Amino acid sequence: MTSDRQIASNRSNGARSRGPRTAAGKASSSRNALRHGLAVSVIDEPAMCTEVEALARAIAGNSADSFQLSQARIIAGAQLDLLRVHSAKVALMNSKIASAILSGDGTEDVMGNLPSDDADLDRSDDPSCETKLTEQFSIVPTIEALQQLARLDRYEDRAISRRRRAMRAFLAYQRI
Amino acid sequence: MNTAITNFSPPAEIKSFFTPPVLISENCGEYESMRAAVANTIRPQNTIEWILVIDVMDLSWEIRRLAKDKANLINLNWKDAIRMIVEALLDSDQEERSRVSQDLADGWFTSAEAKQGIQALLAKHQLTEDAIAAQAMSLRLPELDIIDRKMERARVSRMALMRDIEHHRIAGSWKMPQDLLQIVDAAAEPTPLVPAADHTPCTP
Repeated sequence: MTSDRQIASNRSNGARSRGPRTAAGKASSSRNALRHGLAVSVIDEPAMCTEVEALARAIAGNSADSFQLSQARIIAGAQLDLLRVHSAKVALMNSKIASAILSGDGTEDVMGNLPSDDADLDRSDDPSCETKLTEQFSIVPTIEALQQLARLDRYEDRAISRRRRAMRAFLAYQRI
Repeated sequence: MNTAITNFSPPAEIKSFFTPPVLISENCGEYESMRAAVANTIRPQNTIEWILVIDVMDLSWEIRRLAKDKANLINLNWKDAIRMIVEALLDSDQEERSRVSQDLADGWFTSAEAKQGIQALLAKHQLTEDAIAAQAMSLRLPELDIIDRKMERARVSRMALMRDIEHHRIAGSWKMPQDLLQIVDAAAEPTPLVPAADHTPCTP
């Protein structure tokens, strides 16, 4: 039979392990399993609706009927998914490069020279480009970085396939 | 929808959807000029074609980056590769072999004498500098394997996109220009391996 002490202990433990109670806590824990969010298409994200719609309109044009517009939305969604994967890849590689530079690992040239503090920055004239590091030295990709990048490829392939199917349907309909 | 785009840069309404996948260590200007060359060759006629053209460009940029990564991986292991080969080829006691091989490896980049010594030792065993490249590659096989697979994937995807562009052009009247691949791939100067006679730093 359960003793009073055990019951009190069970109640105390239970009170501590019922998960988040506040809305903020629930919202936060709902994202616990989220790593990069690339498995979810932008089409399912209300925040991206405007962008999907804008690109879909650009693809379909003003005279498109509902079928063309629906295919254009799939194309636009897949395209924006693709851009998110590209951004994730670039962010991953940039973070690896930045941490390699900061730690001095793998940034030496073939003669073992490290870049000087003031020699590695090149401000591009193109306003669309951010500040770039010149390739005065080699950045060696680590096996971990390459494996992470390879894992992201599957999301890219998925988005390309979805986009290709919709493009074919869109163009086949257009030719009828 | 099929409004002709004559200046061959992405139309304003879709430009914001195409962010160049350029790293902080890469030159954005090079990307832009390559993209302009590809766009002038394919001459995209609508938004769908622009999407495909920019994908072709992005994959070409990735292939080029991976090729540089391969060369950099080999180059950065060049010194270790020399040390290992020389140590294996020398006839002396272990301690002496380690010391001499380390000195020669250190001297490869700075001393013509050390370089000639290594070349002579290689020649004595009917080897060339290719043996150093092979040894350097063997030190980074897992990385090189992933890079090769990623390059192959990017090439296959790029070919599929090019077929898509051909397929999308009206009545198949347009054929992919033969020189397109030359434009995107030849624009990228290969990163030379260390022993190349005309080796110059890979600065843009």
